[in-house]
Amino acid sequence: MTAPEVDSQQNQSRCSVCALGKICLPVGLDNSDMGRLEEIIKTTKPYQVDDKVYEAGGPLRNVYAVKSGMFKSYIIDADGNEHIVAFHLPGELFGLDAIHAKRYISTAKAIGTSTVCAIEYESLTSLSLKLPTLQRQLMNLMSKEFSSAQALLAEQSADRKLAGFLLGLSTRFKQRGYSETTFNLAMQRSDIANNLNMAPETVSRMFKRLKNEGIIELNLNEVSILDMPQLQVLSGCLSTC
Amino acid sequence: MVSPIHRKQLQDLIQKYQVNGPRYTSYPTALQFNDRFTDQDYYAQVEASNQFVVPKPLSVYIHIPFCASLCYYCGCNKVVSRKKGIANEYLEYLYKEIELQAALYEDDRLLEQIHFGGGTPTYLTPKQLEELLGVLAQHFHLALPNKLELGIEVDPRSVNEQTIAEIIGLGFNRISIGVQDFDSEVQVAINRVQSKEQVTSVIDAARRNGVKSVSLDLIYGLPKQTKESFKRTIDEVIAIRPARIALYHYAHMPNQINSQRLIDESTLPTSRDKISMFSDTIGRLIDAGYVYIGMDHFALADDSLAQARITGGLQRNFQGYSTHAQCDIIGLGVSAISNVNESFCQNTKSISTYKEMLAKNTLPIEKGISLNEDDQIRAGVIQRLMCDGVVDYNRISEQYHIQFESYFRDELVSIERLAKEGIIYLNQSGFKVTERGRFFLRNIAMVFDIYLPKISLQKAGQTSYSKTL
Repeated sequence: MTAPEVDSQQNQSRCSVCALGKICLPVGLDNSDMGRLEEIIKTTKPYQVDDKVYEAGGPLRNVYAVKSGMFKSYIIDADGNEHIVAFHLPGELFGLDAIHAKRYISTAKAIGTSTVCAIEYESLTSLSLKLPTLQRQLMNLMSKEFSSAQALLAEQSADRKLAGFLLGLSTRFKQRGYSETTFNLAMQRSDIANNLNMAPETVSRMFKRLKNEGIIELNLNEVSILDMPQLQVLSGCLSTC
Repeated sequence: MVSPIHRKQLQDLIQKYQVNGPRYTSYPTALQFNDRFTDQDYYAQVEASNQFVVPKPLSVYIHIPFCASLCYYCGCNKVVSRKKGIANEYLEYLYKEIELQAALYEDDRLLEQIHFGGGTPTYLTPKQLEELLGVLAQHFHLALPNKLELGIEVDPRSVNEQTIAEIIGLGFNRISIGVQDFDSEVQVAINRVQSKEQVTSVIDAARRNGVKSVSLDLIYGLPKQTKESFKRTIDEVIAIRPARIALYHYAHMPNQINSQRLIDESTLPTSRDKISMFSDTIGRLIDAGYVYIGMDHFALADDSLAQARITGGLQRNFQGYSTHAQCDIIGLGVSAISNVNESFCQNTKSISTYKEMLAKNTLPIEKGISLNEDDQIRAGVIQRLMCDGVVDYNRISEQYHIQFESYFRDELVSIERLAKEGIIYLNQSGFKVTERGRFFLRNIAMVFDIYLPKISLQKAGQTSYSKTL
């Protein structure tokens, strides 16, 4: 998998030269508007595995856009169990769940070495009031988060859930300029199991089944989708996933 | 096969490239293992191995360090004793180690391969072996019997037809027998006297009891060996027709292996004779229908090892070659080496330290190494070289996300030199080991070994490696 060109260090928070500009917040903004957005964005130091970006209950200051690597968001239930609600890929926003309560509902952690752009929330709100294009894109991104969270709620068989999970990733990788058929799963087996609400053994069994049926090829955590139509049939949702 | 005309050329080349070098049963080699690697590092590697979407199956190597008598040539980690009680005590600690290790691995990780080595695994009675397998089955999730490869090294002097039948009754489906040489004078010189009848009766008993895969170990370069005597041994081996043959080179290093001082150096065959023995044997084995797997190993064409060589399922490991390319290997017992995820580590060689550590519920790991990215890439190249004899630049580049030609710019200069010698075929997309080049696998691998120059500087004048041939 070859990563999209990442801009050089001195331009770290410049949306205009970022390869993710076409899918991230600044979609549709012209150069001068983009300049105003850039003013409220900071790129932080890289996060290492398991470093937390914020913790549940903490006050909302920033929302975040993934610049490289991957993050996961999870909530802790009353019994102290972790539930992974989402994995965040480059160009995706997280921290939006804090807007209503002004406190983060989930905790966000890096999966492997990853970087983010931190966007100061109050400034983003006032800027989006002045820039309808920015407001529209913000709504778009929030709606996307919302719909993928809903998809997880449906009662589905394990193979259907896994097929949907792979298709979802495939689509997101494609939007980011990566291969839609071959990609590496940076997340752990237990994280996938947790996210899809199944046992880790079931995750492995489902992957093996997809492999034996010739739908995917698997080389450790590198997945190659060999039969996309069949995977779509399995997932039960042909266009929306 | 090797024709007589080419044999002369080959001998000259062998003379020229006869250097001291590692055998690459691992990369980085055991010399790079260090005590900065702790049980915490091992836990991290195991956890990472548990977290692949489909974790690899497991393979277990168990070291039984006891021998009833001392073979002078042997450099393995062993204790020579006739007291049977010592094995029982050792087993108690081994069980503890099995329990600690198995607890680290997710329950759905199937144990597909178990190999007993030594020392002398058949120092254990069938009853002790049964108990040991029972403990493994209790703590690990064993694959179904038809999917479980269960192998043991057999010393023909320690078994009879009855015990062999009992051992096979436990489920063993692969046995390898240390023959070394059938010549009685050689056997006396190495203090390992076993008649040909002893060996064949064990093999017959194994075959009668349904074991298809019998492997014989031979050694060339032993004291009193001559071209003629070794030829007779090979004739007898060919008549027995084992599925696999390992033909090891005797490395005389009396400064490092005490028992080798008991070998009269003046009775060792000359380098020239050893080269003849080696090349004659290869020619004769190939004529007899064996496939050269690589390094020291041969197999009949229908054997799974020869098949795996074609399908790319071959793996080089501490036992030589294996068909289980996708396994994490857990080494149990003193001096045993584990290869889990991207790491190697080795247990202490001392039985007393082994017991002390396990008594405190700690894994008896002494040293090891976590592979960095460069190690992984070089290990990948050396694996392909040792197993298929082919290095495809694109394949390696894709696998490790590098540009092979620029990554290995310096190495490729040496590769070009080896190509001029006819050791490899070289073209734009990669290189392939030639027929004659197969004798120089170590030399080719050494080109990609980043640790080598540093070691030779550090240990100048000292011989830490055996000769390549």
